[in-house]
Amino acid sequence: MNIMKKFFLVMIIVLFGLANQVQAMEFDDLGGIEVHGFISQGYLLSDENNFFADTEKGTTQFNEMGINFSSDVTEKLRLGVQFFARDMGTIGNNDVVLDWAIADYRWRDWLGVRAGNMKWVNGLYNESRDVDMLRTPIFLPQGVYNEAWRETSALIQGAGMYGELPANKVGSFSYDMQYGSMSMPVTGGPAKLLKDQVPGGLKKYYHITDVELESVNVDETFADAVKWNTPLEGLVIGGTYWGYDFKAAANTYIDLNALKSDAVAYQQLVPLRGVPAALLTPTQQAYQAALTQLDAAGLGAFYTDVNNNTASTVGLGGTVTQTYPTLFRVKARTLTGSMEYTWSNLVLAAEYMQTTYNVDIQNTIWKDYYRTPDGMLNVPEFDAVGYYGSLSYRFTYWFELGLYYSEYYRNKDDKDGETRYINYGGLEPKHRAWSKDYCMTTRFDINENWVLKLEGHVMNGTAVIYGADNPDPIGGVAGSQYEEDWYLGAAKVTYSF
Amino acid sequence: MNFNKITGLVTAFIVGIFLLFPCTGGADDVVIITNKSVSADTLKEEDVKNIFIGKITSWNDNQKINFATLPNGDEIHRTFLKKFIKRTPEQYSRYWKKQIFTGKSRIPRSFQTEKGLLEYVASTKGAIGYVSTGQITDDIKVLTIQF
Repeated sequence: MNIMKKFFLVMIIVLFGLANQVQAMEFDDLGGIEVHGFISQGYLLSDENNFFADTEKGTTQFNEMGINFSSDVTEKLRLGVQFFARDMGTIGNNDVVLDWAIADYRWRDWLGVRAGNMKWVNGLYNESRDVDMLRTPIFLPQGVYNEAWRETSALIQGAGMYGELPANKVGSFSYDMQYGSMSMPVTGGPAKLLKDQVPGGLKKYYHITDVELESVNVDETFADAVKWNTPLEGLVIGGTYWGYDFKAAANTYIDLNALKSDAVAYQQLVPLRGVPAALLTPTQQAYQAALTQLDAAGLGAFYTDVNNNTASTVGLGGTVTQTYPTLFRVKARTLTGSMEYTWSNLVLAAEYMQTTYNVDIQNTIWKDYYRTPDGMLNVPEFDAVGYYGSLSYRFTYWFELGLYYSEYYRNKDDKDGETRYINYGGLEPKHRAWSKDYCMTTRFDINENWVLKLEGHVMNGTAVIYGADNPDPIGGVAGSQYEEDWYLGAAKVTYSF
Repeated sequence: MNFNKITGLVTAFIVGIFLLFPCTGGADDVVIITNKSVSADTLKEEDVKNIFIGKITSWNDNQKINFATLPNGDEIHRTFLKKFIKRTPEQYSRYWKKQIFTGKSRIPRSFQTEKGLLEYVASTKGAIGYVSTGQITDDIKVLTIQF
């Protein structure tokens, strides 16, 4: 544990103790500076598939903690900062990061400005997703709040405007507009996600063993949200339009031994090209079909190059890897529609989110595969969609029950995964294209400070898990590590003040 | 475990929970009070709600609004929230925690007793709060609320 982590932990423990002593959430003794904090510890267990951590074995690598300080400098100006740490498998590792840090000037109720690190507005719950006790379930519905993007969609670094616009008989409108950049670490979630974006056909033919993110340059990030507080008491309808553009440089690792073997085999198949089938044995016909497939994939020239240039790597035994720089360009635009209705102890919510992706992947080694001079793959524009419906009911001050059903599709035009299965060369099962989640959750508010939650998920499909967390095919059969139907259980306890 | 079995178990669990925890409610009447420096004599019900959820932060004369609340568990607090904010104490508490932990606001000033809240409102410019009708004194002003 490094010094920063130790300091952070000690500070939280001291302040939690202080909060217990005074049982108050305001620290006038600190010169008007308010201090609040939370610490959550969870446990995850799945019967199949690793969900962002080693959940098949059961894991306690699932926690969050944060502490914030804020003060009203003047009647209109407020400053605040929160430090945050989390762990979820290989993500976070409890490294302390600067979370939100803002200067907030509220000129009028209808116009305020914020600058700094702002919580990213999206839908009903994105701003508060790092703080477990602010919601009923442990995991927000993955159809809209995909855990894979949580790190990057938490904060916007820049400036924004917000306000409240009364509209008399039709209720009122709240707006929030943010513009700036975002932080995208080269390790953790985004890195794992990019690995999953390399088409399986490339992995298969080029024997790609790994893709390692080297750097990310975010061009712009924005989020514009509006909420309509309707005249029907308790009904809120909202919409968010947000997006980002970034470039990522990665290294692609290729198993040269395996590649060389394929290249040699390819050269041996070349004489079969154009030979009438009637003159070939059934085995030769199969080889000819394989040759035709490889030629159609544009690999002929590449394999010839490999055969001519990497002879020294053959026969070394084991895996010999070589790195090749790869460039990703990603442009994403998302529309989220939200509805929440609160009636006494009952809360109903539903959201729909659609993200349009424009992705380019460039690597000169596969210029033949894509038949472009610079090896540029312009992935056809596609839309990922997700939605859910949820209800929660508080039976008493200490007990709340929640249910939701959520669906997510990587590509709304390929919901059954057929096209993806072909594009990935059969290396991944079709159910990697979707995720359906039935969730039941229970929340126990032990007192004002302590919350305990227990939750179960019945899952179908594997679109919301990382390939990097599920690397080992069973018996070497590609894709066999993913199970279509699986269960996930979660428990979490949170202390806050 | 097949899907029908899971659905049956979930349904049985929910029905059981509803039977276990009947809803409760009802309390004394509540009045909205302000410091005498506040020029307004009446407020719309919607304005009361927006003040206590932090969406209206200043009076018409630009004086800052300082609102004060009672703690969760207090019956007057529950009645006030039900009547004006249309939320339960738990929902109201969670709303403010969300503001705090997303950097959007400070926590409302809260008092353990009506007496403490009354004294704060009486002594603080721009202050607004709520008490039961039996607590009214000459030190504060009682607002008329338009429903």
